[in-house]
Amino acid sequence: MNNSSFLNFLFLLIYKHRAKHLAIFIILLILVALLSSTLFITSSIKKEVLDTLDAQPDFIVQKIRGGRSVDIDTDIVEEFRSIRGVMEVKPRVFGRYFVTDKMQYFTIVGIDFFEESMDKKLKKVFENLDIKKFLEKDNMLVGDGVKKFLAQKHYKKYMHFKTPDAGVKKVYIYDTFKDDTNLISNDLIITDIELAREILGISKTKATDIILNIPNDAEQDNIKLKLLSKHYDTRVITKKDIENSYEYLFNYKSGVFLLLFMICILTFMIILYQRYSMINSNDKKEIATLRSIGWSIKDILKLKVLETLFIGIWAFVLGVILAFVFVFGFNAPFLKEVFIGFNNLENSVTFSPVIDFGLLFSLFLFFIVPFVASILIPVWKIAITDPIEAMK
Amino acid sequence: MIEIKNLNMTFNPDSQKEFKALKNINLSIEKNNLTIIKGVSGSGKSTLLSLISALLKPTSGEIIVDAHNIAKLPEHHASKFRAKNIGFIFQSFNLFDSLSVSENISLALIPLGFNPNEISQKTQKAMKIANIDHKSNQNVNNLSGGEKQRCAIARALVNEPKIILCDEPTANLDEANSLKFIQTLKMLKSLDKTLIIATHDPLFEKISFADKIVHMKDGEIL
Amino acid sequence: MEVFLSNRVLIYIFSESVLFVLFIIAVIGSISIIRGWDFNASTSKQYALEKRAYLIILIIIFSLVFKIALMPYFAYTIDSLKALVPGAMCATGVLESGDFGKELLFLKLVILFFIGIWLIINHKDLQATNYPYLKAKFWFFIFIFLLLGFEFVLDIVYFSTINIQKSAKCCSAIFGVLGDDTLPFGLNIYMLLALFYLLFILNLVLSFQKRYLLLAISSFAFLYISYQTIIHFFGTYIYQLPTHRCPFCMLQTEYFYIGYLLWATLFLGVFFGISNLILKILIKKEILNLYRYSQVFNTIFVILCSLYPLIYFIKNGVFL
Repeated sequence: MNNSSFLNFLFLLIYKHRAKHLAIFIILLILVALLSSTLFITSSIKKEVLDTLDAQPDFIVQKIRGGRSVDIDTDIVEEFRSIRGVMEVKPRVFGRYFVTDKMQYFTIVGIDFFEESMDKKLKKVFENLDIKKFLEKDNMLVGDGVKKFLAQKHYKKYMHFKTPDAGVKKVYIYDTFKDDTNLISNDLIITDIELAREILGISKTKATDIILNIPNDAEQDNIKLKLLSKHYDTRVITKKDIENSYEYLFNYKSGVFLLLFMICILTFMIILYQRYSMINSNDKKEIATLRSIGWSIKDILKLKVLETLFIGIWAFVLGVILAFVFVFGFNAPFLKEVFIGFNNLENSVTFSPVIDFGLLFSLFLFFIVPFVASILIPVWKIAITDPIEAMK
Repeated sequence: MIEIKNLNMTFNPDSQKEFKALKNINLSIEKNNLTIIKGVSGSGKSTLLSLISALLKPTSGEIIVDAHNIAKLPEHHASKFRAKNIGFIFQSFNLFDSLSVSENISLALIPLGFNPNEISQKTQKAMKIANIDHKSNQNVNNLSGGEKQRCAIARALVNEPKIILCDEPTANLDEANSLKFIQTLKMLKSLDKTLIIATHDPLFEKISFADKIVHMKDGEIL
Repeated sequence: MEVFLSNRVLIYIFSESVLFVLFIIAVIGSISIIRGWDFNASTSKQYALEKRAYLIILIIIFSLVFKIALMPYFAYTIDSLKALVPGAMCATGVLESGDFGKELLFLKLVILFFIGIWLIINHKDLQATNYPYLKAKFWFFIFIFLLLGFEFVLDIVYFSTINIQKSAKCCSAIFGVLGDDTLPFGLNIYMLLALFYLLFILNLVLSFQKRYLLLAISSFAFLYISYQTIIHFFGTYIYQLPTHRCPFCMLQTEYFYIGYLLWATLFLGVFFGISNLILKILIKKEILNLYRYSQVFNTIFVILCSLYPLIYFIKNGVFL
């Protein structure tokens, strides 16, 4: 039955009933595009964040006092180095510098340029940097958002930092840097480690935290126990913990969205059901004619199901394509604010395309299952039209 | 070939709108015969045709076509029977306006599962017999009454049915076209078809080649 | 409970819920049809029931088709949860993590099996001109519905009890490499393999002879032995690691999703082997084509399995 005559007739019917189909098509298209955009954005951000995470250290050790993280003594570094299985230990100096009373801040990261950096991403940032020149005076590398912010305050070449001991430190803007998507680097400032210590008020014998790298995954649990048992006032954050919490966070954010969408879908199902249940006398005549020339109810069911399915599937495909172009072509104006947030500095993010077939299939299931469920009864109602009645 | 025994048809039984359309019909139709069923509107002619084509299920009774009782067939089998064995010509033709002549005709073949080639061949053949092949690609909208009739005839022939049923076929035709139609009936009979015409058109009274004339009134055969 | 906020789990549960609503509609219709059905009556009530039967069958067929599609999606969803469950490297660990995980999976397979039987009975029923199996098939559907209801409850229970705080066991612990390396019935690997191929040949012989009862028993045995052989032998060649004994990892991208093909062909071969027994019980008929399908799928399955160690041997000159 699936030959050109049937298909020809099918397309003709679709065209003939286009008024009925159009509204459904558009609503479904918008719903699909909206949800797909959301999921594309979260996938893209998630991938970016998890990629960055990959380059992070296995352990972050912090000193805890009163439930909060305080500066940790650097003499502990030697002790950590002596633990078997630990490959690299490094103290880190970084912190937030608040620049407005609206709680906007820069993240200042101090780098010891003479030591090999463990953060691969940062390493990429200054592979072209002339370190000697950079260290000649108090220089800093700034991210996009920082540069824009400073320019607005008319700080084009340098900035005055207020240090915790009530002093002022003038730091020159050496250059800007950017990572691939601007997600992380936006509010970042990179300086020499001692300069960072000055601005943030961290003494020479202390650091913000200490990072460890442990190549053998199986030993991580053991080493964590060792550390915690020796130093009761420390907290060890593992990469796995961070991964899990990001995974959790992303699931949570997109999960909430999905739940909202389910309500939309249920409403849409009711609309679908009602729309396709409206059978006018012309429809009935069509069915009656077909029945009388030999079409069975089964044949008509097939025809009608294919007719509505065609609309549904096309709306889905076009919706996904639309979303794809919207997110990865135009960087999702308006929608991205929901995910990136207005909270810190202004950010112009670019999303890198992520094509995940699992995601596409999930979207497909999410829309097509309720769609088909809603049309089954209306389609049946049309198909069982009494041909004798309808032809009168 | 067609045996109708004790056929009864009641619409909306056990309700206020109960209507006995057919009462105890007994009829025998030989193969290759032309049978004319005469009666005014409401006499039950259309109902009888619907029952013979298995479009409707009777309240009681048997309809035996070629030794098969089609009265109780499940719908999907009834449709199969209709698609293979019946050709129907309606009073108002019941063509799809937005389709061409050949498209309308080939619709009758779709449930039978032929491949596109076969459909094309059979459609051509039917159009030739009905003398409408020169309008094959024309939209049915643009046809005259007589041409629409010929398209309907072609559709009724395309599945090579044994039985052709016509329900008031000349009701929407002028006299000239009506006479042409009667000639067509002669031709169809020569093709070994069994023909049953339900009509109250007086033109049919003068047909010489009719094998049986049945008069119906109020659901009964007189 | 946090697991519910994973996209895939949400979508999976949502789809299952929609389908379950459809099934409820179908079972209500089935009951009304069974109560009023009298094929020989020419009443308008009977004709209305026949039309309603079309709706019910339409709903059942669509829902069942989606159910079949949801099966690999279930596997895929569980696999994706391994990122949230500590210690889980693939679906095995995730299944262990929630309550009744393995029971749920087993129930799903049983349901799929009965769905297949129902579709066959429906097809036969529609072929005849007097709906000979109509009541039988709707009663059978009511039975399947009970299983479906049970499955739905288990779905919710399982997903809501997945523990993301507690470590899951990995397949080595479950399938006994680190633990005790026992094969069922104390067999060694050669005897297991021999049993595998012998049962395959027995299945072929019995299906040629059309002995449905013996074939069903033999198919069950073949199912069990194949499951063990895949985990303890063939799987290790797919992963090319003698200690990697897992039925699920082969569903992942790295192994080109071969797992789906292997388990599907095994399932189909066993399904067609057992189906004639069930059909005989339900509608007192057997269908000869099913014997042939069982032979075909079993053969494809055995060839696919055997290819892995063979290719390994050809490439490396030794077995693992």
